[in-house]
Amino acid sequence: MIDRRRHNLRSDLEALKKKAEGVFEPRKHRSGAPPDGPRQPAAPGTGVGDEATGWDTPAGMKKPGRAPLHQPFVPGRRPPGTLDDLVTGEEVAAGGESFYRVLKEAELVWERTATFFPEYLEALSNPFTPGEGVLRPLRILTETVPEEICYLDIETTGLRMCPLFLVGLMYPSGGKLVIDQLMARDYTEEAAVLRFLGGVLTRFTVLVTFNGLTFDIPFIMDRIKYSGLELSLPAHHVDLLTVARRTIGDRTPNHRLQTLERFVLNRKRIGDVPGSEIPGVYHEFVRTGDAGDIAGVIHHNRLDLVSMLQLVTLFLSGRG
Amino acid sequence: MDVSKFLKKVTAEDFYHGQVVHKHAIPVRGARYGELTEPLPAELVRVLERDGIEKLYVHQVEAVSALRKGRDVVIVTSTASGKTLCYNIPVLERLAVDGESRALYLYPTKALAQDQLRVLKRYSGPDGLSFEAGTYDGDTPTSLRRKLRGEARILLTNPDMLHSGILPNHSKWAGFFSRLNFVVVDEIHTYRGIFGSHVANAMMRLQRICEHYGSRPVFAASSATIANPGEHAGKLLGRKMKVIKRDGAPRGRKQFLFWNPPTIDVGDMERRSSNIEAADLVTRLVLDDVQTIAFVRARVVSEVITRYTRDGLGERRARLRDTVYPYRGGYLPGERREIERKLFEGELKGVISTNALELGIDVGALQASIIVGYPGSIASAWQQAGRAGRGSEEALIIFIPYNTPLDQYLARNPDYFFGRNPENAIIDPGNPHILLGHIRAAAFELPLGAKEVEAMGEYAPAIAELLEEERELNYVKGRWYWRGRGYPSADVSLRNISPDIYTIIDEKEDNTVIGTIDGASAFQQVHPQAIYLHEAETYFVRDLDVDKKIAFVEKTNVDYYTQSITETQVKVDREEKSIDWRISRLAFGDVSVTDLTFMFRKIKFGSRDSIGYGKCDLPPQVLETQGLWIVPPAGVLALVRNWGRVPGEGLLGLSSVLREVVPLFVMCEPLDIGTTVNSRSTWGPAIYLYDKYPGGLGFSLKAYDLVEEIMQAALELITSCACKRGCPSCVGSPIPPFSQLDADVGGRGMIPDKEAALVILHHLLGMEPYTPLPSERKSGEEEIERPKGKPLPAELEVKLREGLRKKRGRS
Ligand SMILES: [Zn+2]
Repeated sequence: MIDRRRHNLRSDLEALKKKAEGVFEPRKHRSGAPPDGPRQPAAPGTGVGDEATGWDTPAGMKKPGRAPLHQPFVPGRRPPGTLDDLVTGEEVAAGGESFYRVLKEAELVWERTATFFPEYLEALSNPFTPGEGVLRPLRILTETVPEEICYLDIETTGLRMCPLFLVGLMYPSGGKLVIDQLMARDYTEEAAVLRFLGGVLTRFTVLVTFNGLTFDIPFIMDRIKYSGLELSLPAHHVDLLTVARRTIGDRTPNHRLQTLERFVLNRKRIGDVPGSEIPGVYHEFVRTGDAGDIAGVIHHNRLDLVSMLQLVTLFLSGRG
Repeated sequence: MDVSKFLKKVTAEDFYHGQVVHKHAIPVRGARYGELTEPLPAELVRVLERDGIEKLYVHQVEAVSALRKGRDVVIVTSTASGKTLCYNIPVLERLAVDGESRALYLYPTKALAQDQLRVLKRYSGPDGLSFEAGTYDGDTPTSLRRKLRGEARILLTNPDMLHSGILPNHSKWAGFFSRLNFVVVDEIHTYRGIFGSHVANAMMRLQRICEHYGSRPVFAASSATIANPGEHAGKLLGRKMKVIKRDGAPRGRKQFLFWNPPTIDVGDMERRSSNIEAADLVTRLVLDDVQTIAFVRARVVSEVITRYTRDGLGERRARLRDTVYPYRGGYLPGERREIERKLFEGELKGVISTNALELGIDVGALQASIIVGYPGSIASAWQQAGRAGRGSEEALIIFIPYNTPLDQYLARNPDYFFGRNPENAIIDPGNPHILLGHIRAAAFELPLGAKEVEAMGEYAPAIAELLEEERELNYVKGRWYWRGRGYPSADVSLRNISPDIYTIIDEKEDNTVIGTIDGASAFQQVHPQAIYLHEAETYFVRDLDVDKKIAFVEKTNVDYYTQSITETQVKVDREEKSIDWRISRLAFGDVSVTDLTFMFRKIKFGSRDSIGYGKCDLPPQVLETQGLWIVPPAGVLALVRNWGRVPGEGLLGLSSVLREVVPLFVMCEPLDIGTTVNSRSTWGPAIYLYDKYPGGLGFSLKAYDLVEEIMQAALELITSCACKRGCPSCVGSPIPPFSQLDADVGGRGMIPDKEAALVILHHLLGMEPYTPLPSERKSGEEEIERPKGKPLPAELEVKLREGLRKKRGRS
């Protein structure tokens, strides 16, 4: 009797899931590899392929004897381990709440950032275009102390009305570029992440995001409201997507960050966790505790942050 | 109005042939007022006085006092007794004293919400109270939505919007929910069956979200008369409700007439058209300046009667012709608002409406209400009757039966109607099929605590575990978190109706949209070559584009309308299991119920003559669901035949009884299931019972397990029914079939054979064989009447018999 009921419910569920698939179809599509387009000359700061960091060689230049370029992400393929084993951060606990924080110098994550960072500082202090015309929104960056500029990118479990689990921040600190990632190891830790984020952000004057105007910032504010918290944002916000749209126009097939990486920064990620897989990876991590795949997501988040910084360098030096 | 004067006049006319077959007077009742212990704020008193309200009725005082104390109430007083004030007063009072408070009003339709917004707006303004209020539904522009979220003190919406638009986005509404003091749920009698079970789950989700934002609003519900208002509201809202039913509103004398159209020839079973009788009465009432509403079952009938009435008025007083309008679903909102306004302001003298006006849209009280055809439930009939009566003025209510078995039964047995209690409203929020969708939605909205899940029903924990296994939920530290994809509330529709809406476009008039029609009715009413009636004008349907969901029509002046003919077939797709239940075979599995609209008839206005037929070339509409079927052994059919009765009729009668009994066992409304007799997929005729919901909701599955109890209850129901030869409460169908057709022109049918049903049931249940009453009608033959004469005087009869005996004794 109960089994039959469960059987029937399962078919109900299948029907509901099918409907849900329909809703998500476009999103899957968007995260596919961008079609081939015009190639841009190599930009400063783009390195050759470096497997450890997840960067591939510049588009079109294959290293012999390696896995195919379009190597898909396969869940569960990465070596298993705990979060402590694989990303080595620390637990932050306060007021009965806790979360996981991974604060690292960027060059430890990817040594080439050691060159990107000085180029970036140079572009800030000596911009080729003085923040006129389409680059006007970037002017605030050149007028602010670099230590008060923070890059932000979040990872969530969906498009809206669902938990976020990772807030990636990047900012200069003690002469080095650091990547500061706040992570909820399960859904109950989200509030602690948000509370801590509120504190960290008070140190900054400018926030830099990619599509933060429509996604990251409203999403965070939504979660703040949901959790009954308060948060005040830095005084200025630069959304690089709007800048990219205006400066690059139709020179690239679209203006997604990974498309710009490929056509403007001239490199391509390998084995990266596609955006559409991220929620599933996180939920599995919560369920099993195996951090193999989520470590990939944490890395994905870092790459996003670094690419944003490089885009700013590029735009300010007039080569976007 | 002066009822007796009107009747005197009408019954003296040529067209009167003894149509009044029953009179029932509803006595006068005086107003009873009460006094609030705490006075209302001065500004509220001022706006109420401006509206002519200086004293409150006892039920209003009772409701306001209870709501002030934070008690949840359900108000069940009569139509036009000032129910809305019962909750508007405490809500407005709170708004006046607490600058932050919010109220949420839920109505079953958008139209009702808009109507009530107009009522509320009367209280706000420069010299009234100051508050923002607005309707939030699919039509609300995006720009206004943001404003309403932030500023509306009273938000009026519907359960569907709450379920799919507001609850899943609750963080945008955080401010609203955290300040929510009152939730008003109007017309809760409409939230029954599958729809009601869904709404109950949406209300559960609403309350979780309020709790999350730290509010605990008080609930005020209102309902039309049903048998179980307290229980129903309690189940729907998950609260213990105080029932307020002591009605203090005054009531004038009401005369309730049963008006049976006269037979056309003596001995002939044909009667005059009920639609024409209705039009004749509306015409006479309008000529006497009596504002009248006529209620009809089918949309087409509202058009036909309007047409007849306008013709009648046109002949007598042409300027009154356009003071009568049809009103029904499928009109554009603007058009409906216009009719409502004109009716309210007295510009219209008559309206011919479907049950669209049965709900509480405020069109002012009317003086006469005509019920054309039994609306399908006692509760609904009283609701329609309640539309007549202005305060203490006298009012007239007329029931005009059609020449159908159910309606004619009521005409012959008025006591059945007046003695019967209104129906129970049944919901089952814990139905696992319904719960599944809402547990997903609830988990998406807020993580689900173990205690919460337990409170959702006996199967809820198992469902949550199932969802966890299926990787839609993750269990973390005592709570379930959503991890599935998409927006689960979008996967659930609260209403069991096809979401398709067809647009009706007038090609000759620049492709203007003149109306809409739901997908289920489109095939039957706007198939190619149909005549579509709109504001009593005839439109020819040139084409029906099924893909684009558009009917292309053009205005054409013809003297006929059309009625399509639809055949329903049930077939077994897959037998899942079967058992021998006593001597019958009982099976359960997947069935498809196919409706095929295959032809239509052209009906001449007035004479109702069929003036032609046409073919419909439309795809069948298929409901894939689950059902059970009972195949009685061949012997039982022979047994019925031996008594000179038709076995099929007995089975049909039994299937009608099951339609009444099964809902009580499986917790649904009679409309949520279907029954039929069919022999397509079985060797002999079988009784089918299926869930009227795609994929099934477990009703017939539960009935399969309870077959013995259900059959015993069916027998109990038939044997305890006081009727002689079958009535709507036993073997007759309680619900008119094909309610979108004009009963005036359909086949008459008959009430199935009660005695044959008893023969079958006794046999199936292994009881003593049942000896039926002598058959009144032989199968298929008309009974030939015996010659009539004087009865013998008793003494003479005795003598004759004695003489006979003596004669026999001698031989
Ligand atoms: Zn009966």
